[in-house]
Amino acid sequence: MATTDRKRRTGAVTLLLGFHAVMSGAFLTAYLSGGEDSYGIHVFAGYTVIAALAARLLMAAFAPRGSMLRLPRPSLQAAARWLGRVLRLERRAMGERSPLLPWIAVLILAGTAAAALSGAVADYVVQLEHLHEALGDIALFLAIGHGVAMFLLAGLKRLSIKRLPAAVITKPREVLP
Amino acid sequence: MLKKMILQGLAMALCVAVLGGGYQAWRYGPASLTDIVAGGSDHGND
Repeated sequence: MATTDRKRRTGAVTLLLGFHAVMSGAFLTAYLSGGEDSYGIHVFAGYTVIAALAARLLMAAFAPRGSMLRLPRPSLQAAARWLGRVLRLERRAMGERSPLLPWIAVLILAGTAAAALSGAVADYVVQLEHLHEALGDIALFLAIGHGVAMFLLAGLKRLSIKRLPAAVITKPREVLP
Repeated sequence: MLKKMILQGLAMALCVAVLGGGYQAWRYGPASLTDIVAGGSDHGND
């Protein structure tokens, strides 16, 4: 039973890593090839982003309850509670999975989806080109923010393991179900 | 893990760029790729 769970989890992680690689790579290529001379590359990369997003939605639709492949469900209360615990320098809060992650995932997914879908429409409705460019810029800032946030969260986790002096560690609150 | 994910993304960016280059060559002709390398098309200029 445990082996099956581990296999399922490994499979889900592999699928998510593959999705992340295709999505980030295609978005980067689409953004960098936005000029007139590389229009074919831009269109190809943009449709690759849309295909990756569609594949991600399909994964989420067929994933069993509790699977990592389900779409992220952000919670404002959980994020606020976690931030409060981190500000009180609770070591356990720093080390555990942050409830900010679903927020980050939803923001970046929505941003890239808006940019890619507006691009597909702008392929036929030229008037939407400026909107597509603006959404592409917003998506780039979201992607950069996403990267910075991931490094900060990884740093926080590392801090929780190594550097925090025992004197400032407070007793963690009971975790609500 | 983060470094691995960044490298995978960069590798995939390269793959998409190469495949996209193939699509552009097929759709607009191989000469359209030399415009990118040359740093801009000079259509209309002799």
